[in-house]
Amino acid sequence: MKNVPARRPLEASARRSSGRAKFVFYALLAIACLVVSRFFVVQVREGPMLAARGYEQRLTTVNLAAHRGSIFDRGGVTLVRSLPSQSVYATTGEIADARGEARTLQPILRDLTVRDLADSLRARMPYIQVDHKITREQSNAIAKLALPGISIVPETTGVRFDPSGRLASTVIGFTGFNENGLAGIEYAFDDLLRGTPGKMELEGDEFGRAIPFAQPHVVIAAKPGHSLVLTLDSYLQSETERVLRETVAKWHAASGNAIVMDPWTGEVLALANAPDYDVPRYDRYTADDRRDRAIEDAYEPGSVFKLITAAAALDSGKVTPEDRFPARDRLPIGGYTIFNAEDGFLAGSGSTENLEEIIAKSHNVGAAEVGMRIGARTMADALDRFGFGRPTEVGLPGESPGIVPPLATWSETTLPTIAFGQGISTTPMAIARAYAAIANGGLLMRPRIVSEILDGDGTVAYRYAPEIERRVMTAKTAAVLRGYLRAVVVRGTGNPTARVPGYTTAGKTGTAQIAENGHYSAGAYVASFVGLVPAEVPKYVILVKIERPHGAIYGGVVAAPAFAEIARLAMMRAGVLPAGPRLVRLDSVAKRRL
Amino acid sequence: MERPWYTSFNWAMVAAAVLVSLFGVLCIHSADLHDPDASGEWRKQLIYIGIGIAVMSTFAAIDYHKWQRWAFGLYIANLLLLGLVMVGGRSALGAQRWINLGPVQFQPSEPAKLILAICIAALVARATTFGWREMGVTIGAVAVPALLILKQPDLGTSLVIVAILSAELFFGVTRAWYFGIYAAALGAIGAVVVGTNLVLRPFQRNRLLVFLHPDADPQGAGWNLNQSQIAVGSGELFGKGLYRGTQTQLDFVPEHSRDFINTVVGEEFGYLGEIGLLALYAVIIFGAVRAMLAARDRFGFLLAAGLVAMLAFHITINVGMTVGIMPITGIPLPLMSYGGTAVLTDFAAIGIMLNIHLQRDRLVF
Repeated sequence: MKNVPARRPLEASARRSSGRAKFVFYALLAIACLVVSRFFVVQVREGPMLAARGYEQRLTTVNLAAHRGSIFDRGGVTLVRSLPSQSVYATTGEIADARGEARTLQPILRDLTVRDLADSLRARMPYIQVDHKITREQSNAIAKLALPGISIVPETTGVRFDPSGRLASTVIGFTGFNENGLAGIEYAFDDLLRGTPGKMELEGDEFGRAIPFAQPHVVIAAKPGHSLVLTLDSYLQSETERVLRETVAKWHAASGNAIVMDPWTGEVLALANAPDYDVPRYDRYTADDRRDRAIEDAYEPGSVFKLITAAAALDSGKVTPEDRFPARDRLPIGGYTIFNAEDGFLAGSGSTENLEEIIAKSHNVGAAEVGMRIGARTMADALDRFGFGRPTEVGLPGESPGIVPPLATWSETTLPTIAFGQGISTTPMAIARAYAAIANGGLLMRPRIVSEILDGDGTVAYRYAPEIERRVMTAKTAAVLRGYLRAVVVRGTGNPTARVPGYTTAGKTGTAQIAENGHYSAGAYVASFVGLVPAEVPKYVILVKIERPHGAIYGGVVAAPAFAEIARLAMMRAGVLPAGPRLVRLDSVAKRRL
Repeated sequence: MERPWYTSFNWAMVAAAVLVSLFGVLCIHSADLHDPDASGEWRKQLIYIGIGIAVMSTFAAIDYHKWQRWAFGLYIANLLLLGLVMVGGRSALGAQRWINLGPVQFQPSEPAKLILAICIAALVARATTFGWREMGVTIGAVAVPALLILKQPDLGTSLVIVAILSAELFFGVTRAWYFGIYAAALGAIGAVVVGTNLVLRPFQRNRLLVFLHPDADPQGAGWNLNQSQIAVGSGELFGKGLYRGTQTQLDFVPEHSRDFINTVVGEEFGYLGEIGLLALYAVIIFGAVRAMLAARDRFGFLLAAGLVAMLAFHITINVGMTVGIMPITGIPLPLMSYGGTAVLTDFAAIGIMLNIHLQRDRLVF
């Protein structure tokens, strides 16, 4: 080809090629016809079918989140509510600089390390979930970054938001990953709180993301869950928790709980446990920390139980308030010896004491004698009437029924032991309820912690009315017992620790031994105080129970001051001002001035 | 006196080419509407078209006989470029086809088609009688660059080169039955290529053959075909309207601004739009055939035949693959698909044919 190429005239070849050119022309024509007719088939004949297939392909079913119901306190304060949550997804093919994006995201998604994030963004999957259950603030921040390949997708369940973090945590409980109730009220009322998710069909792209010029249409709307109104008062709950926490810390106790109950309705205004936990970080606490001990733990109540013995004794008529029992500090029985506590209120010997003195000074021997006076049958009937050995059905999960030995198995020592609250176990809730009966004139109320169930729109769907279970003692007996409880504070084991300036209080101390492996272990006590305020017509029954205190063991020393503080706060909260000094005549004031 | 050049210039062909390319910009813009990474493609394409029109004008002004003289040099340059791709090329989507030139990439396999059309025409036109020996030399000369391109791997372009070779041999061989033998041999090679894994990788074979039974693997090899048919078909008679093509814009159809640009036409402009586009292509092909038939000499005739084959093959395969009558080989739609090198090559080819057509009345000295 180095020479100037020969320009060959076309004539010869054209003649040779004219037939071939025709062939090519017709071949091109045939191809054109084929293509045009094929397009006719695909677009005109099969077009509507293919269009329908495309639409079907774009239709994506999106599950709509059902808002989980909120939990309010008795005043409408939000204890827990649900917030919508989002997931972060990465379309890995669109991410060029995984490490750079990971560094940008990490300050927002602080739960993850840069390395974790980068690994997700570099994953071999085309579409991967990077993080879930992120908050609105986080998703807004990420959306603002507009990183390539990063998208935010709403989730079908939200996240629980607990404005206070740990307020009433042991009562309310917590939810799992999909807002499924796992403990407390969240668990017990899960079916009500949980709504019914809806479904929406919409036109979306290959990844199911909604497309701009299509009509989303809701097929089934999500049904939000019911909300609950509790009987708890968040202020009183908060203060009760504080007092309890301080008391447990002061006495280096293993645990404690406190209950504030309205004796007239059975409503629980405060239920505190120590230890408790931080709801959003529930997984960092042990199951033991998360327990609602006031409901789940049965314990031997000790001396606070003497009131049950007294109620049985007075109600049966076998003992009158005037009956006197020999005062003793030790009582050998069935190979064991019952002692009075060496708490400064020893009975001495040679004299006698009545029921009021036995209770005010908390004499175990006296209580045992009262028990033996009324007999096993009467005692067992009273235990049954008060509902010991059965759950209170307060509506919280995991409630312990307590243990009441069956009458047939009672030995010689069982009756006198039960009479002062050992050899029987029950829950703090059951004790509080029994004291509520003393406070309200003898009616055993069902304790309640949920007062209303609300529909998704906030209207009341169900209201729990106060429920009287039965009369457990006569009104007169109850009044007599209130007098005894007052005597405890005025001159007995609760004096002066259970006194509250400006208010009258009544109550009973308890110092119980803890049984371990069938024996009472040395130094292991439950110090408790169950009291009423005010003493005359009680507004509140308040129970404080401190387990394994160190430095002191007596209910009057360890638990009574906490009761006094909670009682004072409860009365202030109820708007009852402390009574000041008696009215003085103006002229006497004037005289003093002079 | 010669008539002024513009009276014998094929204006219709130029107009069709420019219209198609501008329509292509519209389709690219629509296809990339929801793809922020590709939002600049339509602007770049507009620049490529501007340069392309300049190239077309220049090539229309260059006496096509010069190509015959430069054929050997072009052939060597072509081999060097293809070699460079093999050694230092940029890879994308599993293929090594590009050379980086600063902000843009150059794809040597595109001009290779044009250069080989010239070289084959030069080789065939040189011989007084074109027999077995000449055929062997020609095929050998084409085989080297074609295999380099196949190795990238770029099956589509290799097939285009075979089409160009076949067209020029068809018109170049002295006796028609020589071509018959060539065609039979080609058929046998084709059977080996498609039927065994000796030449093609399995994914290429799958992609090639899936159009025969598209529903065998709708989520895998058949995905592209099914999706492009849904896109094209859902356009129905009148189309969904510009910018309203859900299937193409929303990534159901892959490569929607490149190889599958025709799905945008089908979906948004319907059957009528598709017919309109094919009519414009028919104007171009018809102009090319006219140039071929009007050529004053054998080189021009053969070169035009090769370029007709190139354009017709590109259009038929690309358009056909979107409706399932052609295998999916991954070759662009001339003047429509996004890609600078391809657009320039297409405009250059049209420019050459314009020159061939322009010279039909010239006397041969």
